[in-house]
Amino acid sequence: MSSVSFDHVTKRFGDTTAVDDLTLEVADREFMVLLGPSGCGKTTALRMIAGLESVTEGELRIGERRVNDVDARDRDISMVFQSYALYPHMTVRKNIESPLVATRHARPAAAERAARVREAADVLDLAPYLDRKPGELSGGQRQRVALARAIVRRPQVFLMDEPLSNLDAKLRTQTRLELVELWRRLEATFIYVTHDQVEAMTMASRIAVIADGRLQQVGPPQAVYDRPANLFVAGFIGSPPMNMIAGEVDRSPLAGPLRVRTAIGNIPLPTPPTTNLHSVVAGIRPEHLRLGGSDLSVEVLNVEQLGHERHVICRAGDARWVVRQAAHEPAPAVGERVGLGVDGASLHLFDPTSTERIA
Amino acid sequence: MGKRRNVRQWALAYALLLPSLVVFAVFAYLPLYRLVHFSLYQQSSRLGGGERYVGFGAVWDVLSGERFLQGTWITIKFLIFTVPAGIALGVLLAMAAHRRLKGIKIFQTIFSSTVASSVAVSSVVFLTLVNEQIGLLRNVSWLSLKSPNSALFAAALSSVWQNLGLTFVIVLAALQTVPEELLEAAHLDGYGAVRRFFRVVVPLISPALFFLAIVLVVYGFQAYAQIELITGGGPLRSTETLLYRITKLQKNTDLQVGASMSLGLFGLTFLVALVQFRLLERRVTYGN
Repeated sequence: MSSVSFDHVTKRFGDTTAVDDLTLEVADREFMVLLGPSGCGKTTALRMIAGLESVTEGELRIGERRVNDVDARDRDISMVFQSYALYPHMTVRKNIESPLVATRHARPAAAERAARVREAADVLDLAPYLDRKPGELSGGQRQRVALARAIVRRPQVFLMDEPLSNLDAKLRTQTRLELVELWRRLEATFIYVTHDQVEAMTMASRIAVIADGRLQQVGPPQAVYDRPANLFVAGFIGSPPMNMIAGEVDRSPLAGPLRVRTAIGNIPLPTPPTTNLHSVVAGIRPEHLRLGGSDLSVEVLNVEQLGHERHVICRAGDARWVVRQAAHEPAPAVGERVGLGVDGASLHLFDPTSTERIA
Repeated sequence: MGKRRNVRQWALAYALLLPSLVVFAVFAYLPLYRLVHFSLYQQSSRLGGGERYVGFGAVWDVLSGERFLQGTWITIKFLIFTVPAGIALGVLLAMAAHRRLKGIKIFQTIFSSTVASSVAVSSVVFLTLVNEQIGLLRNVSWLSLKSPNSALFAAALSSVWQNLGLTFVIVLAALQTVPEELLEAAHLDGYGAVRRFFRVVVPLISPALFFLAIVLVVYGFQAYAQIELITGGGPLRSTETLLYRITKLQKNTDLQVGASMSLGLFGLTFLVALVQFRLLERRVTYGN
């Protein structure tokens, strides 16, 4: 097993910079999720590890070895593709066996190959399907064949490019769990690319949020959720997303307690912010707003029932906010003006120009 | 009511089939029937002199005769020269042109251009190339039209070139259906470029290769214009393929022999296509 590190790695395609000065250390046996919107460079980063894209600048290492110029097939990694990339003309057995027979000089004996295929198939419940062709399998089964092909060679690092995106919602939830179980069992390094923050939150040891080719933040899921480093991460992580509003820090001693003045009311600040900035962007997660408070005033646009809770969609100035409300509380009426209470301790403040976090 | 609707549907189906049935009848079945007829009846040498039944024995005499067997052998050699080389060259060209490079479309157009040029034109171009006085290839002995040992090969080469556009276009189209991710997966699995090609690409484009194998064999059997234009059957009848021989049998008295040889050619083509289907079908991977 092995670590992977990007050291000031840049990847350019002509004039476009896909990955911009990425420095990221993926620890041995870590489940690292590269998270970001489509086109942000996360897949390019993954493909550089695989050796399917060259590195324009910087150094890429797998373990202690610099791999910038190492051919893809000599990197000892496995990759699961979004489309699964199974060989349609081979049976499931041949597909799984494929990495073991590919290199003639390193080919294990037939008996060992069979045993390893059997083992991988057992891990992924594929034993009954070994003699079928991929075309005869369901989406979920094909996905497991792709995983089996990845684990059969026991590589140092597993790379996964949106492997769940072709599955339906129910199967996705189930497969998430199976992937984490597989990761624990293999004690391997997983690097997993997705645009789905739920996948990132539920599976990752750490998340690396990427936008516009740049690394925005790295950290354990809860830390990234609790303290987003900038406005992009704040808006991207969390569902429903964080509510944002522009405001001004009111420091005048005559105005009473310290607070952020906004178009829809004042948000109290428990502690003075560690900045002299006047203008800020305030962010509040939907679960940190309380209907019936008196700090802010909004108009109810819609109420979404989810069973265990409800989402109250409100007009807050120019923005739409979401307030989470427990199902047992009384629901507001659509069109009603309601007050919102804010827990100042859970307020996020960002610099509107640099978009970085202030407090 | 259900029955009446049924009858109407059947009537409609036959009405829609009728035009193509008529075309087939006039241009395929009727000629085939006439062919069988001519092979069984010896025509008189006098105009309007009637005909005489000679039967299957006469057909057999022709098919086991030297004229037919030698023509068959020359045709087979022609196929051996044209089919494998035609497919291999088409695949090579298509592989070369199947890249995301700037201006690659220009090469794709050039490579496929022989589709649009007639046999006559490409034969004349080839003749110029091997012309004894001015031809660029006049000193290449294995392309000499003067020697019975090389003339057939030269004509075959012209054929390969003539068909290359078709082979190229078909293989290129097939290559474009092979998903990029599949080749990347094979690369990561550890396959080198050559094994990637034979283990992944060839199986996936095998329906196209199968199609080409059949088409090129049929083209080979039907090769006439390039033989007529390049070698005229010579030297010493060494390039007289079956079809070429048949077309030389135009006189009334020759009709029975020509018709019998045509039947033999039909049988051969049919047989080869059948064998190809049985042998290759098993290896061809269709779908998903």
